[in-house]
Amino acid sequence: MDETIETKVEEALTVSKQEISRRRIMGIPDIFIVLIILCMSVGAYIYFNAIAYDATTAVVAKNKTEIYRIDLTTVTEPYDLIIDKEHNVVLYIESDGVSMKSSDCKDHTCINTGKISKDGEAIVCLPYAYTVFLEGGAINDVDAVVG
Amino acid sequence: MADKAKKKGKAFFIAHTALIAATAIALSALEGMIPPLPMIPPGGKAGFSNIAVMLGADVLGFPSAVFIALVKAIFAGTTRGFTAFLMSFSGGILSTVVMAVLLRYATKKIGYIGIGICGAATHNTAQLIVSSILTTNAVFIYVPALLILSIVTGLLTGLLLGIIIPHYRKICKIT
Repeated sequence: MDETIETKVEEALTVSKQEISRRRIMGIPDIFIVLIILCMSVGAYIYFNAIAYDATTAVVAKNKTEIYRIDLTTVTEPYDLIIDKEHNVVLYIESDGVSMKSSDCKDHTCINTGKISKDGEAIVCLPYAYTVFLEGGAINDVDAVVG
Repeated sequence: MADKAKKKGKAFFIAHTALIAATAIALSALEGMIPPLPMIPPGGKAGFSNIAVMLGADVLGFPSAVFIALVKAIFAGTTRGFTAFLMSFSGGILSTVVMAVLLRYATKKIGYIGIGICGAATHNTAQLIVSSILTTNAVFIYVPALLILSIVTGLLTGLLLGIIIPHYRKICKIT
């Protein structure tokens, strides 16, 4: 009797050992793998935003409707673009970027933004509802085929 | 586990490698039918065929997994052109190496999901490196999106494998 019980116990133990040695669907290290890859992804996102490409086009919009579109590559000499005579909103356009020169608004957030030059950057003049943003650059010219 | 499959003989090994390779092709074709979603960067795919590669790596071992990845790459090459072959080959081989090493030598505490995610991430990384060689470095802008995508696809493949593999072993009597 004793012997059979012992063998049964042994069998049960070996089975449980096999179960333990078998890989499961998810373990605790998996959470760390997910976290590491998430951190890498966030890091890469920050890195790529910091080295954004030089823009080629400046777009001026009032209340979401486009009013000016300037190709910066054709700009040879910097000039002033008067957007709004009434409120004295003047944009200073250079071949490598744009900046707000003057505005009658009180806070001058747009002027304090300084010069923008990278793809995706924007100057916002909230009081008069003007937005100036940049487009283009190397990133949009690539038609990468990633199989 | 792979050693026990070898004890079953050469015929078993070859037949099952071919079977899984055929599954990989079918899954790859199925994947190609899914229309590209706007949120997902170019080249982002569901990674279903990785299920077959990982199954091969776990049940049959590294050589058969490499063979499956190669068959998959040749299928991509014949249906979608040479660039697709290069992409599939580079990603497939690198992810197979990573997954096979992890399945064999890593602690059993790492689940199938973790290995699936590692495989998907290396697959995407290799593809990006090859595409950056073929085009410009600008493709690296897709790194964040592809890494997030590899977490999602790795989760899916790992979950499916965790369900499939025990049954596969039971059917083939390799435990």
